[in-house]
Amino acid sequence: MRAWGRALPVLGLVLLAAPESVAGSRARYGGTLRVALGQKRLPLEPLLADAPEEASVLALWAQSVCRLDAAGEARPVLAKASFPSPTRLRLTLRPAVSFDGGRPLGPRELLESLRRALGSPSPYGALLEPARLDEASLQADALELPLAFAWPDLVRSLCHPSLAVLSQHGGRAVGVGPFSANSSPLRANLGFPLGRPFVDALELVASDPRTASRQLATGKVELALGGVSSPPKQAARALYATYLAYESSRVGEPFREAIESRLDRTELARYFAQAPAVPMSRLLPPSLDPREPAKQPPKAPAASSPKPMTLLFDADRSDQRAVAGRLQVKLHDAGYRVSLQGLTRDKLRERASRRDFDLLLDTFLLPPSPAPALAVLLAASGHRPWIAARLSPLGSELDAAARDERARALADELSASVELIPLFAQSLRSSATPRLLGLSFDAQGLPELDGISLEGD
Amino acid sequence: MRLRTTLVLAFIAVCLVQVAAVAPFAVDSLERLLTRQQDARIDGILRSVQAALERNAVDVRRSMDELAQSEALERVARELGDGELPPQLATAAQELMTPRGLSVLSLFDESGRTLSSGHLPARLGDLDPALFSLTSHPESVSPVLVERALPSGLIRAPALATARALDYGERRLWISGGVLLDESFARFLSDLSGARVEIRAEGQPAAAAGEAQAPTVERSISLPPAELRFVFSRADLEAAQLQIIRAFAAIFALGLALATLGGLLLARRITRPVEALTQAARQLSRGPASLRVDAKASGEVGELISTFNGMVRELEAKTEQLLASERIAAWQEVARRLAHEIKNPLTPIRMSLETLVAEGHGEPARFQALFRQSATVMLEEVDRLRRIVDEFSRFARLPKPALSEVDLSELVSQALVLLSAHPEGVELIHRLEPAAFVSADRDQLTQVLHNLVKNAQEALPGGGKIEVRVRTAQNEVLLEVEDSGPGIAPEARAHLFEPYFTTKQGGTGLGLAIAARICQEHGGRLEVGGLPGKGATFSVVLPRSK
Repeated sequence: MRAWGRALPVLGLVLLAAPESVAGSRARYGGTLRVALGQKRLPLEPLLADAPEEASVLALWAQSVCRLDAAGEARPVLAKASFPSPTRLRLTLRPAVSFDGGRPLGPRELLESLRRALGSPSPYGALLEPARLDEASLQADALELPLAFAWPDLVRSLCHPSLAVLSQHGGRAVGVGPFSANSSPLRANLGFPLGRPFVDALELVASDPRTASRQLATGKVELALGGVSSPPKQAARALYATYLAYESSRVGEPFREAIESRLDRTELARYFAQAPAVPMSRLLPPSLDPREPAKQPPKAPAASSPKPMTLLFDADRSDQRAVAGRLQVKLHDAGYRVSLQGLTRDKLRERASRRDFDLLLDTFLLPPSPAPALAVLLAASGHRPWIAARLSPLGSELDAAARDERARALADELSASVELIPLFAQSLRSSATPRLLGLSFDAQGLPELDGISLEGD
Repeated sequence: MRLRTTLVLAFIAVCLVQVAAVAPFAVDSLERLLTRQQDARIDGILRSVQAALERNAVDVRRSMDELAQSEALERVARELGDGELPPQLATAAQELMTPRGLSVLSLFDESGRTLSSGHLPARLGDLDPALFSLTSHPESVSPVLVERALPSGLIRAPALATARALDYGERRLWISGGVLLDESFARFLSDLSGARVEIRAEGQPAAAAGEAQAPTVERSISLPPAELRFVFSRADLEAAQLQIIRAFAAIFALGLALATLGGLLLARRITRPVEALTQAARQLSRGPASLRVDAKASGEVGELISTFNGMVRELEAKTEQLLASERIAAWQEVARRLAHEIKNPLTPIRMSLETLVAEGHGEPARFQALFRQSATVMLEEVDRLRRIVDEFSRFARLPKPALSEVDLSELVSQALVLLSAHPEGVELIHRLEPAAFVSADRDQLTQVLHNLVKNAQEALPGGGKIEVRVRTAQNEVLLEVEDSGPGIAPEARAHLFEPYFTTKQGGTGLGLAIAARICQEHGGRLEVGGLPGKGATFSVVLPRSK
């Protein structure tokens, strides 16, 4: 306390002597932030709201246990995670945290939320794979979970937006976020554990890329997420990875070679996927596996009279249709007759979990660590048991960099067995007006909208 | 078969033959005429389609010329520069294509690589040899197969397209574009032609529109490598043919009805005199009758009627004469028999009188004895004469029967009680069916029964069996008296019911004649049956009371 007592007058003098420009860029409270979005409804299901712009909006009203900072370190939001032992995880809740609507968040609500994610057929349930929720012990302000195996990345995995903590209240899902979803525009949540957001309210404006650019230019919105026609000014990590999943029993053996040898991923990422996108030649995206791209195999002969196939894709995303069209053309050149069928994301995931498809264009918001990302991909490809069998030894590696390296090597090893053909990875496309201050991205590649302030308000 | 039926059928047959002879030729001629008209219409439609294709080619040429000189394309070429295609130009072809009414457009570099494709954006960066081949003859609009992405997969679809070159600096770009011969074009052609239109590429259906109801006729326009196939319905033609056939059927039915009606009327007119003649002849055959056929007829039939009526008149006159002769003969016979019957008693009377005259002067005692004997003979003969006269008188004056409802079985049963004292050795049995009602005079029928039973008793001097039966037939009631006597000789049967015919000693010969007459007066008849040596059966047949 004595040290603080000496430092405060010095700090005050420094601030008084600061140049006007520094004082002008300081975050100020108040105002309404208007955000243009490509989608027209608020995402309500974290396990399905995995497109970057959807996850960004979801985080406005429903946060996960923690949040990753730009360096990838977990910052507690709802609870502090720690490992009392390598095979025990303790989640200590912040005091006086309550859901939107006033219901307090306790260990039981937290456990129920995690159980819901783990029990779902969504591949994101794999992020909690080591946790034995049935053996959880509930304490007054903490939840302690035994682990099936040591998994140091579990804390960072808990920060994934798909594991946003939710509860049911009055027949609707409620969460804890910097804004309240119970109003339009969204009002600032003054009781948010990390402190209230700078803006008083946030208005979501449904738009399309051209309109969003025009709205930005005319000052009708301050921020555009997802669809904007102008190139982004700030780059986020490309962790939204798209794969072509196939069911080998339906498409036949030479399929992978036929498509891999004809697929130009650079072209796919450049012309068909929504920018910013990077080609992905390995199972993990370049932001998790920055090694040289894998070499393209020699051109395989075209298939002779294969049976017709159907490629399922997410009808809610326009670039998925374009990518599916490009794959259709390339598969046609490889001798396959492919029909396209667009499905809503929940139907798509439901078909994927049942492995009821020939071909399926699937996209995941991968966590920014190779091992949890590989767990998600193994679950998505129907190999969830491999997590315990093949991934668990990585938990014994305490050095994070070494663990990541081993995870990449394992991904290389398993990539031929996993029925996922990597295509490209995307990051959130966003654009903001100069009025907007403090826009930053976390390690997941998502913007921290509660840290934004508006100049002049 | 009756004449009237034969005539009606003959009329119908004549009508049928006429329709059957004319209808096939008429239907066939009309069918050929309609087919020729439809073929001419189809030829006209195909000429219109050819003209529409030529108009499309002109439109394509004009649009591509305009595009090749447009600022928009020049801007694309400028943005393209020398490096890689900027991502924002990937959709350039689509933006250039749509406002110009084109449905196919690709931008190529000099090597044939697709820089942008409007109809198949996913083909970007690839070679498209089919569409790029148009650059070898850039001025002409040619049919070509282009790739299209359908939800069901990629197909090769026909299009009318042409190519244009765009030189920009050192660089040359090619644009190949045109219009797809797709579903909308097929629909347009279908609307134009009224046919089902199939657009085929390499023998496979690429697009189709419209419906053609079976039966159909096919025509095609070749646009190598495509083909436009038109399927025209002949259902209308068939409907017209069917309508004609129906009209013929209606005419036939009407003709048939008229022929039947006319045949009936005519046959009636023809057959009525013949039927009247037949009826008269049938009536005549049952007995002489005063009748005339007064049906109107002319010609041979009229002559026949006139002849028939003359013949009937002649027959009546002859019958009258015959009846008069028969009556005279009958009375002569009656007189002869009556004289014979009367003559017989006269002889003993005369002889008795002559004996008395001869012995009048003789011994009184002998005279007295002869007198008594002669008087006795004469009295007997006089009684006999009186009986003959009484019988004759009864026969001649037989009263009209007083008819009433009578149960013949009950009548016979009562009458037989009175006849219970029959000669020794004769057995009388009866079998009577109840409720055998007739309309009859009880006394007269009782008399008939007495006569028949008495005759039977007299036929059995040495004893025998008499059976009296009453039974009912369909419309008749039969009273039968059967005896086991010697029967009746065949030659006697013909005269059995004639007055004064008898085979018995001392019989008057009027008993059966009276019985037969009573039966006749009751609307019935008396019949005799049986065989000689095996008994005789007399049957009274009377109409059954209703």
